[in-house]
Amino acid sequence: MQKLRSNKLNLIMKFILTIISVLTLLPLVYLISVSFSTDAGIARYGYTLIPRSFTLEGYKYIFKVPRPIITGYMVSVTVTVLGTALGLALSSTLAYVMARKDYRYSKATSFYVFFTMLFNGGLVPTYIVMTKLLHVQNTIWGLIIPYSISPWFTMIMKGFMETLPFEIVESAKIDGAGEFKTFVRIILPVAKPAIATVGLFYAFAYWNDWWLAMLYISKESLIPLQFLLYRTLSNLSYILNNMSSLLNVNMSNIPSESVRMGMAVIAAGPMLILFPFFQKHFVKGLTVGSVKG
Amino acid sequence: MLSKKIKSLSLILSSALILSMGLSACGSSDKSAEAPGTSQAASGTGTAAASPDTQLEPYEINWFFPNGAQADVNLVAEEMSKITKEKINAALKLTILDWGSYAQNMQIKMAASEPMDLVWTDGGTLPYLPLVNKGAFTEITDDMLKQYGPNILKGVPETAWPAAKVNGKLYAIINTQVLGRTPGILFQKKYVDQFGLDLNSVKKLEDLTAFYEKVHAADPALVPFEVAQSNSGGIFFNEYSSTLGIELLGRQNPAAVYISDDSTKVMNYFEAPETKEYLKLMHEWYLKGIIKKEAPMLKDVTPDQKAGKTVSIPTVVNPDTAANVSSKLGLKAEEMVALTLSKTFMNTASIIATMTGISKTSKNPERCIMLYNLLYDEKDTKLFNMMNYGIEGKHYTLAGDVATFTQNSGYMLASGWENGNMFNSYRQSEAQPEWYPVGPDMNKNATVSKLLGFNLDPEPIKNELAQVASVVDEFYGGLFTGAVDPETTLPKFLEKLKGAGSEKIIAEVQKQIDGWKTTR
Repeated sequence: MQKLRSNKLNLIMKFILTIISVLTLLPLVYLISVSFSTDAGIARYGYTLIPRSFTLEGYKYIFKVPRPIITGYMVSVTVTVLGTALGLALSSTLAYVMARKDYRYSKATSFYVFFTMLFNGGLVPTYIVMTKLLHVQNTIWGLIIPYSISPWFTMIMKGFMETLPFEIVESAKIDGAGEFKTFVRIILPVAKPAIATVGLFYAFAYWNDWWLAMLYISKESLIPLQFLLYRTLSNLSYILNNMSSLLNVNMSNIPSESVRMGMAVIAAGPMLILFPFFQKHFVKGLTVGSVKG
Repeated sequence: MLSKKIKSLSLILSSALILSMGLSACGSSDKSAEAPGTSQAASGTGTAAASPDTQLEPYEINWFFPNGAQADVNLVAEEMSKITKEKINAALKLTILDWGSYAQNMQIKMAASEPMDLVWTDGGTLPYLPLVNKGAFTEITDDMLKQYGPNILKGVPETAWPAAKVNGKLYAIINTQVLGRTPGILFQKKYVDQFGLDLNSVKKLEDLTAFYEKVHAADPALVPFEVAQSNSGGIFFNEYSSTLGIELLGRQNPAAVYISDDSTKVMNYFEAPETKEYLKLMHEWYLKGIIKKEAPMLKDVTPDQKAGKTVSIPTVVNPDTAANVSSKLGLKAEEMVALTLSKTFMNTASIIATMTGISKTSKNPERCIMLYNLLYDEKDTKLFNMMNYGIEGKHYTLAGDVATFTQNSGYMLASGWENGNMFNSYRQSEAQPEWYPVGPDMNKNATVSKLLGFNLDPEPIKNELAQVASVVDEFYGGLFTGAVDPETTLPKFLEKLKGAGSEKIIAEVQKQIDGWKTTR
């Protein structure tokens, strides 16, 4: 009886999850389908799951002038790699210090970190700090520094590190390891799931960001992929919506639907590939971190 | 124990310090490239604008404006700087921001008082009036214009200036284009010929019904009258209202006046009988298939245009409109023909649609006006055209005054309306009529609004305007694309408008207009 009921429950859960996963997958399939369709085909048949008018024109158009996309990729990859490394270095050290029970100001530090989650400097002051104090505008650092430490990710990391037995630190000390060596050789290897999870969070944040590029970058050679995409789409919708208020907008460089979707596919690609590799750690890290969160 | 703590703390602190030092070093090398020195106001001799003045200190003019990204922008700015250095001893730095994020970006820059010189502004994207009220722009005095910008005074029609003045003071240079708006319709010529439409006989939209019916009967797949949710025919009433003799203050603001009314009595334009007639016509066309069934939901009209199915496009008609739009349909300029429905109408909104202000943070406003003076030069248009078309031979080729773009050249701004006097621009095809004298004549002969220079202060009716705007958004699409019957829907709409406070808005607008008239 019990078994039957759990089987039934299992089936219902599977059904619900299937629907959810179909719902999340469908838009992606549409995206890919539209990127292979002709504009005339879209006009005639609407959006279809399988392109009824197959074409590679969109991708041909994109790769005809591949310079912005290639630089965009390079910038995005550089920013993601550097940013994730920096983010992990900063938040893991900070989280470790906050998690150490023998650190007298642990609570105060935690509160300080937590406080910035509720109240931050605000847009304009942040902008002034970045541009007038650190002068990161139009440098690669403008895309890295502002996100290099996230209080939320640090708190997740801290939650995980608090679950580690303090004894391992003590035993390391007895064995003659210094603070730094303890952290690098003992704590980091044990904290791998948390590092993988938070690292993936950072990587997502950096990869998907266009906001920083909008604020700090006006040099074409530093435009990341996402901003390239955002710019194309926002320009397009702006121009379509304001056609009558601008007497003379140059329409010839507006890409067709398939080009826009093609760009979206290209921009989304790497994260889709990256995700499965992290998935194992990801699930573990999330649950472990949340126990004490 | 304690010393360990201090040691680790100092490690963090010192690493943070090293990091920040490294950063500021990166930044400072970048900064040294910026404006050299703090040159003060130029030695004000009247000859400064006309001839190279060796007394001018070197300066870099930092110019921000929205447009599509241009890969070679720095190259073009360098080339332009060669000319400007020689003439006014100023280099030029162009920063192009995309349309979608221009306003947000500039507002942050202004709030942070970043050093800037020229900033593009308008009525809607980066609104002029609030920026003036915030003190973002330097006042441009008449003396400054006379002394440094004689070409500007020559290029901008005198009737237009009041529109850009706030409390009698000017804060931005008007970019000259056809400053009024001429409602009209652009047709594919082959259909006009095929179905025998005599454009001269068309006086109002109703006269086109028979023609459109014939087009639809011949091929139902065609789109006789282009209408989409938020562009084209969907918001054509913004323009066509002037043909009907109504001046709107804004699409979502019901307050409007009759153009010929000297007493400038404010009324609700949705209540006007002319509006009702228009809506009835749109509904008739919608039922007859002249307007696409999908129109109220349609956002993007380009697929139909690219497929060549669009027969006519309601739009603002300028001398170069046919040449510009035809390329979207894959046609030549002479394969399209424009019908104008009424005389050009010039009002505050159409004039302030594109202006360039001088930022409060500019260290040398005079030099900015000198630069603009060069861009406004009718006789030597090289600088202006370089800004718009790039470097000759690399980005375009020139035959007479017709510029042909090089494909994927890395620079094609082609937006003269944004950075000087559009009429000085090279033509983009042989079929496009020459700007002189057509363009300036259109400006000279335009009907001028009685409210020129009036700017509504939305503050006292902010809530009502927001509520009314959401009611307008709810009904506008259905009514103005012709999808719903105005006989039943219009009364409901007006009822809801009243509930949202339209009467209060009209009273307040009337009050402000009356007040403005007494101070004039």
